[in-house]
Amino acid sequence: MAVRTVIPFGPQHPILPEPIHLKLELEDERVVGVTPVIGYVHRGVEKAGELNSFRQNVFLCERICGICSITHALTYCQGVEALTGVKVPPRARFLRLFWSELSRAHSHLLWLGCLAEAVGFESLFMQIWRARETVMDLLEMTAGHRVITSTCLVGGVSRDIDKEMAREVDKRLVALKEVLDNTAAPALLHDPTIKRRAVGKGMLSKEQAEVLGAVGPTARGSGVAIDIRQTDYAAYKEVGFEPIVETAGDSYARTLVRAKETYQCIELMRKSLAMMPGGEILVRVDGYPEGETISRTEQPRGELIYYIKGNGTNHLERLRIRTPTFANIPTLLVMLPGCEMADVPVITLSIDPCISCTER
Amino acid sequence: MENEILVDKAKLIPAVQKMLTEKARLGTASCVDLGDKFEIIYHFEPQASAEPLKHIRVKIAKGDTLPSISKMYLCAVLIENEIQDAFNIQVDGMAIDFQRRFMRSKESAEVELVKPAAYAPRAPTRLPVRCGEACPAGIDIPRYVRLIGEGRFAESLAVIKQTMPFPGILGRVCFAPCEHDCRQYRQEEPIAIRMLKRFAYDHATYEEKKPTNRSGKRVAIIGSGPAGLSAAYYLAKMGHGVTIFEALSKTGGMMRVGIPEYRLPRKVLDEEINMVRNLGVEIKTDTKVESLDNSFKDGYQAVLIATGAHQGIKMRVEGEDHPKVIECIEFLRNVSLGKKVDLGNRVVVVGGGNAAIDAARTARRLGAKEVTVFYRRSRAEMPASHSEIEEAIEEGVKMEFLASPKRVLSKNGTLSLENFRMQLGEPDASGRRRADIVKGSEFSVDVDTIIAAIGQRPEIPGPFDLRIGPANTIVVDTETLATSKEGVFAAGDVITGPASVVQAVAVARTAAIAIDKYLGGKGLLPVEEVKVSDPTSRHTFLERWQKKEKRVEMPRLATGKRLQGFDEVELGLSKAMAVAEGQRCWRCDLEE
Amino acid sequence: MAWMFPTIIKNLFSRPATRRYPFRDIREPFAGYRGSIHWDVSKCDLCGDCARVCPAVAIEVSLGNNQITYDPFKCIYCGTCVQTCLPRAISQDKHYTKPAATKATQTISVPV
Repeated sequence: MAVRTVIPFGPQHPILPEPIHLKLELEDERVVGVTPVIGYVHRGVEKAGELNSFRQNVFLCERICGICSITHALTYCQGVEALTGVKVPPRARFLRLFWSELSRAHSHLLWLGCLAEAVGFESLFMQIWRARETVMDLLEMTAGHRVITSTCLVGGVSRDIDKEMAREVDKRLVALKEVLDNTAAPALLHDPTIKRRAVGKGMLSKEQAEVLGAVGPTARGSGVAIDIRQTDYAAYKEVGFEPIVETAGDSYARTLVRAKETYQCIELMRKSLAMMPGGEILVRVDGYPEGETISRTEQPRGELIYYIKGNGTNHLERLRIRTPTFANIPTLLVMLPGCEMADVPVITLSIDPCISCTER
Repeated sequence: MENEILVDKAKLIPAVQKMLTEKARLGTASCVDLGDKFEIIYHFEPQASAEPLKHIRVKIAKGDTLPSISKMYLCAVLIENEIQDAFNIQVDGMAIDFQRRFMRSKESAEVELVKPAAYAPRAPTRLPVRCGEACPAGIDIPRYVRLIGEGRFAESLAVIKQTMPFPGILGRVCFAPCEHDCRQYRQEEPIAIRMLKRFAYDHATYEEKKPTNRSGKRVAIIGSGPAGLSAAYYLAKMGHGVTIFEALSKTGGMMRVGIPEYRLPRKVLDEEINMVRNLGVEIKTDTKVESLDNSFKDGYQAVLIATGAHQGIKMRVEGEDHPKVIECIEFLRNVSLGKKVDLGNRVVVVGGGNAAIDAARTARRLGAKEVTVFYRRSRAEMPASHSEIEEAIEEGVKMEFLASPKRVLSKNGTLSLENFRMQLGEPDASGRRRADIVKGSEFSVDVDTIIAAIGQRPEIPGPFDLRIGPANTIVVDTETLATSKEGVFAAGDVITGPASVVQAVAVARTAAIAIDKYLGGKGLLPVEEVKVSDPTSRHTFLERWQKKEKRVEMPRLATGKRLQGFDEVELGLSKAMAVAEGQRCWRCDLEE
Repeated sequence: MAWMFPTIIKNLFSRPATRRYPFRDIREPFAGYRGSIHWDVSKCDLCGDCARVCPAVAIEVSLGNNQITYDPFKCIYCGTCVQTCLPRAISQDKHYTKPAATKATQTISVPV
């Protein structure tokens, strides 16, 4: 008779970048059921959002997650700008796109490194994270800090990238692309170890992805072509954008989506620097936010939704955040049952869990 | 259910107490609506968890109260509040009562969330500003400067008029304590608040609202200086009948006879005084009031003394009663009233205040070739305003610092002034450095005329019979400005000693309120609200990236033209200059 | 297997790829790095704007005592105070605040 055991996967696990907590029901070595438990890093961010003034909330929202920090700030700012009727100048929109893509490159490189570590390929992990250091240097050079950029403000951005810095950034991006071409790309595309651990594992069919409401690379790896960047927020319309879709639906497909997106990020960044118009980068915001709005952007992990309600005072009435990992966790309920216990880390990692976002 | 105990209301507490002694845990409670009664069931979990649950059922009639068990099981407050809220049952004695705001209220569709008071959102406020607090008249300075910066000159003038009736006069002569407290003063570029006030007066008009209801009371004001005119303005607006008695042949007090025409054109002064006349105020010139009792006999219910401080203080040196040693205020008054004054060529003015500088510049315009101002301390301690001293030097007035008169000598018809050299000593109680005589340093200058501009004192006629304080000022109550005589009030220089126009206007406002209350009114000044949208935030982040802007420079009449007559020296800002200066303000009254 | 030998020999005798932090090869932070916060007391006039905008409530301005209390451990180094200060009395250095063994606040006296 098969022995059923329930073991916890996470919240602390060597390969996880975030404390996801899953209760795995195992029969011998095969997973038959999974129960996610959420709440480990709940910090009450939504309540704290009601205590600060609406300008100070940007700094709060940035700190919900380190890897997708600028996207949170951007979504929040877009929402408040809609409520106060502020039109962001074009240069600021391009700068926001630049930093969003930089943050996406950072996130995907971090994830690729974690995936390499999950399959045990530690030297590839080190190489990819060394490439990630280039991105961190770029963040430090342009924004001031390596992780939390604090550049997005209600009404625009707080820093500018002048011509000299743009040239330097472009040089480093080209160097980054070369490094990736030499290290990450051959390993991901041709290495048999990674393929054996990822291909065919964690199958998510297109119908399942649509029914469960998966977002981001999780959905795009299963053939669902949704990407909020298609709604032309920031400067995506001017720069031009097509979502990257794979149809296989397994962990390898999701890996490929993220790898290709990293290249796409570099391209978008170089384009935005070249196309950036002149002008001011910050406009004054007058009045207080009143009314309700929903603001959506594409975080590295998927669709991020902010519901902001203002009541005409300096403080917001309600700040509600729906993060993509929250929408992706139900896919684990479909992907994990049936796989071996040794596959659980790679499959769980393939949805790119960002639990500090999920549990705010 | 098995293991259930049925109790009636009285036995509920003892039954729960029994559960407590058995160390059972309270799970939850249910409530059932039985039509005419409510049934509440408490579910307990015994200490040994293998044992089945125990239940206590109690029935209470509708409208009856349920005793709370929260004193024994604190967690019951949650259930009991819910029961109270959902079923409208009154529960007695709950340890924590959420007062029916725990759940969605059945009456309203809105969900009322329980928010502690500390979380209440801040109402938008305007912060207290240093310039506004420095202004004795309490003008809303950031607002009117901002409105000029936005190009709304009429609204700006309306804001000034909310608290101060004479922007035309003060825009030219105010000593601007606000500019000294402006936060940009440390960068030496304070906002030119006074120049903007003058600009608002020159480029916009304001329609005074005439008072609608008359009180039937009459007030006599003695003196038509700034204090008297302001008090008349406010009292007339509150509906009282006001008559001003002016001893001289022309109105305006120190504004006409103390401040020369090149600083305050008579046209502007007359315009402002006519504005007060148009409110129904009667002004009687060439009428000196000798007795207060006569005023009351003539049908006035209250009297305000605003006679100012016009008597010059003596230098107290030997020989100062020579006819060519003239007193500053008398000199300026004679010039203002059109009398001819022969000064000769060499004039020395003794003193350091604005009156001394005014006398020196007037002397230059009357043709004196060598005019020197003798001051006992140095330029840094000179009380006159910087722009005055600058303009005087431009007009050829010489400054002799650290000199103080010893005596006036007259030999063979030539007048000469013997002086001590002074040196600066330790600071005194007020912070100003003392001037000490350097022994044996006497020096003499030959002069044609000496003008003494040491200071002024009020002059109060004896028949008034009022309590007089130090330096001949009238003693008044600090809140009501009432003198020692019933129904007699005082305001302006006569109670403070020589001060400024704006301080006189501010005190007159307090006096008008006090007089109105004395006459049976409520002391409410009609303040016109200026309905203009105010921004909620500054432009701060962008300001930091702008280049540092300099304070606007007032265009002045060319020096050669100035001395030909008494034309106004300061020409006024252009629209572009004023708007730029208004936009330079840091808007300290806004948050963020 | 044998093809690995050149790589092994090379790795045995070459320098480490990582920086010998904090002893050697330390990179100067980029200009514009948001590091420690400093007040220029000759320009500050104790208006309190920095305390009002600080998202982390790390600054306390006391006009009566003529001093500013700054908590470098609550501070999030966002630079909002730097951008809000109108007399430009607050500046941000490009070197970060070093870690410490105990938390403490900084009291800055502003001469009148």
